[in-house]
Parts: sequence; structure tokens; C-alpha cells
Amino acid sequence: MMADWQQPALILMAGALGTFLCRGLGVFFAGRIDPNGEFFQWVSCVTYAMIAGLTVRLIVFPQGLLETMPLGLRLAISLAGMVYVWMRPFNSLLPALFAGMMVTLAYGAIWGG
Amino acid sequence: MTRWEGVLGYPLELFMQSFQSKSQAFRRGFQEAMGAPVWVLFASMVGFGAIGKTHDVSLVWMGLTTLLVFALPGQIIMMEMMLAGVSWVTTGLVVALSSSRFITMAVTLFPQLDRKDHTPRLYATVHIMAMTAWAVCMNRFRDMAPEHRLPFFVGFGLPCWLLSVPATLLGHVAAGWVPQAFTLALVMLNPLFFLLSFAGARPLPNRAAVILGLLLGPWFFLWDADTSLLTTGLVGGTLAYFGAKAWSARSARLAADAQEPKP
Repeated sequence: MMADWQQPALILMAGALGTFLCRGLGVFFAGRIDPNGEFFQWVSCVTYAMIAGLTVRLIVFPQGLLETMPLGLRLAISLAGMVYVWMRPFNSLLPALFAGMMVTLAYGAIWGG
Repeated sequence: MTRWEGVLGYPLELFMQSFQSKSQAFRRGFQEAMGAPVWVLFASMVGFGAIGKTHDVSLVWMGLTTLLVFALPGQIIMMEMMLAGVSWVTTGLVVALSSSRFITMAVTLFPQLDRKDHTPRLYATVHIMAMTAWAVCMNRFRDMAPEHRLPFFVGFGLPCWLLSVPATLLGHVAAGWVPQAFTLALVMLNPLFFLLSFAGARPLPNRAAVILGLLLGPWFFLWDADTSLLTTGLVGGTLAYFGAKAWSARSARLAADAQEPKP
């Protein structure tokens, strides 16, 4: 049997290494790419699609506490925020973030456990 | 100059000037981070720490993941796999897959730096690169001289990273006496902030890639969760790249047609 601290320590190391490997590979390739080339533009598109995919995953398939909030409400808050960014009534993200947090807080206070 | 620059809560005028020196670029990066990004990240990390506490994960382990990994989605995966008793080899692979975005993030951000800044030191600097710093720098770099880009990036990323650790610890300690509704709001804030910080991405191909990524992401996740980031990125990004190319070619042709003199 492993000692109690071993599995957490190994997981921590594996996670840190896995993440650093990706960051390091990025630096390695970055020195070999022309920022004005077509390849660069394609990789930019791929990256934006990746982080958008990751973010929508956090919203649509959350783990833990966020699961307790209905999917419709999570999507409504996100969509309202995006419409805000595209309309840009003010030069700041803060109103949208604050409003989203308040709606979540209100939901949690009224219907939450 | 578009209105995107003002996104993080500063008036546009601040961004119009170029920097006089590297230290000024560093300071401006720092100031911009302290405006909203650091505090949003702080709140997200408080939420992460609080969730760890509810699962009885130790304070030290939670703090160390933030210090060493500094990528919230990966940290959440690590915590879940540890609780589920998954082996460390599998965990490392899954976390690396979830971090694959960092490869292309660095590949798109760092070639814009001054050639002189391409030193082995970048392998340490890249550690403070996270989604917000990347999204902000991608939009801001084009308005500043290459030699000011690295100081700006470091000025922005460093406070984000350094304050995340105490935030995680604070969340862990405070979890007992913070109402759950508040923790819920903190947890929701994180994806919402990510979403809003790149929803206004420019130019057109990048914006199209964001929208395609949002639409395709859930389907690829249901198909195969572990590789979904890569598939979403490759399929969504490639479609956006060629779609936007075809679109601008078409607009250019229409504009040319409109300018042709009538016979």
C-alpha cells in the first residue's frame, strides 16, 4: 500500500509536469514561427477555438457546485455577457461580470442548498 | 483603434500612447492586471480553494497546485482524479491534454516578442501565461513596440500568478464560513470572465474561431472528453481560418466589382 501522502504528491508532480511540458513545447516552437505568416494565423484560429471549447465545457459540463445551477440559467448568463461584449455599451467588462455574479448569487441564495 | 482596448475597465486614452521604456511597459501591464483580471482570478481561485476544502483536500496540496500548475481547468481535473483514485500516470496524460492549449498559446504569443527576448529564460516566463494574460496580450501587442511586449506580459502575468496562491489558501480557510451561494457565484465568475475576455477577439478569423469553438466544444466533449480540446481547436480553428479567408476574398471581389466603371 502507498502511504497517504504518496498518491497526492505523485498526482501533483504529474500534473505540474504535464502542464509544464505543454508550456515548454510552446516556447520551443515559438522561436521557429513567423508571426506574419499564414501558419501563424491558422494556429491563432486553432487556439481561439480551443480556449472557447474549454470555456464552454466549464459552463455546459461543470463539475461540482456549478452543476447545482440549471443549465438554462448558466447559458442565459453567458449569452447575455457575450451580447454585452458585442454591443459594448460601456468600455468595461465589469458591469457584465458583476451582473452575472449577482444573478448567480441570487439563484444560490433563493434556491440553492 | 477599436473599442476592445477599453475592455478591462480603463479609458481608451490610456492605450493610445506607446511606452517610453521597458519599465513603463511593465508598470502598465501591472496596472492593467490589477484593474479587473487579478481580482477575477483571485475570486476564481478562492472558489477553487473552497471546493477543495469541501472535498477534504489538504490546504498545502491546493496551494501547491496553484503555484506549480497555474491552470484552473487542469487543477480541477487533478483534484477530481486524485479523489477518484486514478493513477498518477493517467492523471499526468489527461492534464497534459487539457493543457495542450498552452502549446498554441505560446506559439501565437511569443513570436511577437522582440528577437532579443527569445532566451532560455522564456521557459520560466511561460509559466505565468494563463488564459487572461494571453487574451489581453494578443489584443494589445500589436499596438506596442516589440521590445515592450515582454515587459508588458510579465507585468501583467506576475501579479496574476502571485496573488492566485494566497487566494487559493484563503478560499480553503474561508470555506467553512462563506455561504454556499457566494462560492457558487465565485465558481460561475471564472468561465464567464474567460468567455468575455475573448468574445471580442479580432480580427474576423479569430472571432469566427471563438464562435465555432463555442458551438462545437460540447459535441466533441460528449464524443471523447479527453481529446475534445484538440479536436475542437483543430476542426473549429481550421473551419474559421478557411471560412474567413473565403469571406474576405468574396468581399474584396464585390468591392472591386462595385468600383468598376459602368460601360
